[in-house]
Amino acid sequence: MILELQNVTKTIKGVTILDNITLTMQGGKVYGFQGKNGSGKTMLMRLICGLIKPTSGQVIINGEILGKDISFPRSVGVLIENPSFLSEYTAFKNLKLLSDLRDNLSDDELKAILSDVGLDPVDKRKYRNFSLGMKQKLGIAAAVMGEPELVILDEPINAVDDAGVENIRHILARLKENGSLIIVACHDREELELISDEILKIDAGRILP
Amino acid sequence: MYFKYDLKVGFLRDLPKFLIFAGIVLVANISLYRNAELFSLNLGSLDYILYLEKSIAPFPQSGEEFRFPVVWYLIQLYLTWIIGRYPFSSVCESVLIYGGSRQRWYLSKVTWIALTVLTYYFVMIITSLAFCLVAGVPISWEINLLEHADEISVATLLLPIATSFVTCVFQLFLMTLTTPIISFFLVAALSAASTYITSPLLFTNCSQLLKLSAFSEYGIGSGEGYLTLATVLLVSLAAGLIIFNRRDILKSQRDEE
Repeated sequence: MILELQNVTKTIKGVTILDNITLTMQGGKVYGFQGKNGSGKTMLMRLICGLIKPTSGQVIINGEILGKDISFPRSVGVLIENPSFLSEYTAFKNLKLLSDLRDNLSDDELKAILSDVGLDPVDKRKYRNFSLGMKQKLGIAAAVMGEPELVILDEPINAVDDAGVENIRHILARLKENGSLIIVACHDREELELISDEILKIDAGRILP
Repeated sequence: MYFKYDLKVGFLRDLPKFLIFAGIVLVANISLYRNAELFSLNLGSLDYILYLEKSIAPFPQSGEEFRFPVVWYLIQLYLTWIIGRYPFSSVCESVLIYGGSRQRWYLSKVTWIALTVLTYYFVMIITSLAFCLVAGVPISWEINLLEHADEISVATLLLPIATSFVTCVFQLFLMTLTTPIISFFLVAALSAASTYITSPLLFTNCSQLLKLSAFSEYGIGSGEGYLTLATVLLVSLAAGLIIFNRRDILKSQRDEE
């Protein structure tokens, strides 16, 4: 997996959100994005997964231009800002619905993913009754199911307990070993340094040298 | 793959809404039944179905006083509400991304609209027929309620269904430009305006039987109606696809559900 950003700029209502970013990232590595609120981290993640279009420049994933050759990366898992699921469904049912869109994972595989993130796979509670930490864990489970080549996680450890953070570290290490390219944005500097192979500092929409 | 999701989340999960609609149809049926008894009208089952779609004759050409067609409008409005609620609530990042294509997402919503509209009319017809059976109204395909040309073609009777489908696709297109709530009000305004003004340009006229030439000398011809609908459908589809393909998804819409 090779991900290239070539002179990417994004302007919204006259404001430059991302400013001429050129970057190459490759599979088997964890890239940590560090920056204060409003620095452009989330916008950059949305852009990489095809949710927003660059005003100029291009994103190339394995030789295919995003938004031209492909609408979205072919194999990607995302957790951006707050995870959103159907409130009246259980964790398993929510995951099953998403899996049917792409991976068609078996029930056992889905249950294993839920266990990996620290959720009870046979929990009958509905999503609306989940705590913030449980919602976040389900978001992680949805992002990593099927072991995608590209994993984008925005603030993955928000509201997650220590045991949950440990689980996430293990999952990321496994994905990395399998060759996934992982992009993580996190406010916790220590945590980011612990899990990342490379830290990229972003400020005012620019990657700092 | 999107359609499987739409079928489960947008259709099967929302089936109770059709029960509410059946209730609306039932109230309209009871109202017609009482009037039929009061004025000794000899009505059959088809009259009960067409009553829901008849609206009012072209105004002011017909010379009749303008009376707002509450039953027709309520039926259109409820469909507009159903359509407005779902499509963009499913633009949660994961769903959109995992399906792999913005175009396929959009076309899946159009297919979902077709299924929803067909089910809507199916519920309308089945509820009316069930009411007729229970109330002892004869099941017949004669039209006694509305004055009409000698022969009414199937194409004419299907025009309201086709119009509802096109109106909903138009509503989806409006949603790509604005928000679901603004789109709802725009379509509601379009439907309200078309009760007062008769013109094929206000294409929701075509779902009002009394505004069709088969039922009124000042009405719109079926051919003209279908031509207008085909144009609106093509433009809405093409423009909707292009705009949604370029649209930035800045936050999960499901949070607004």
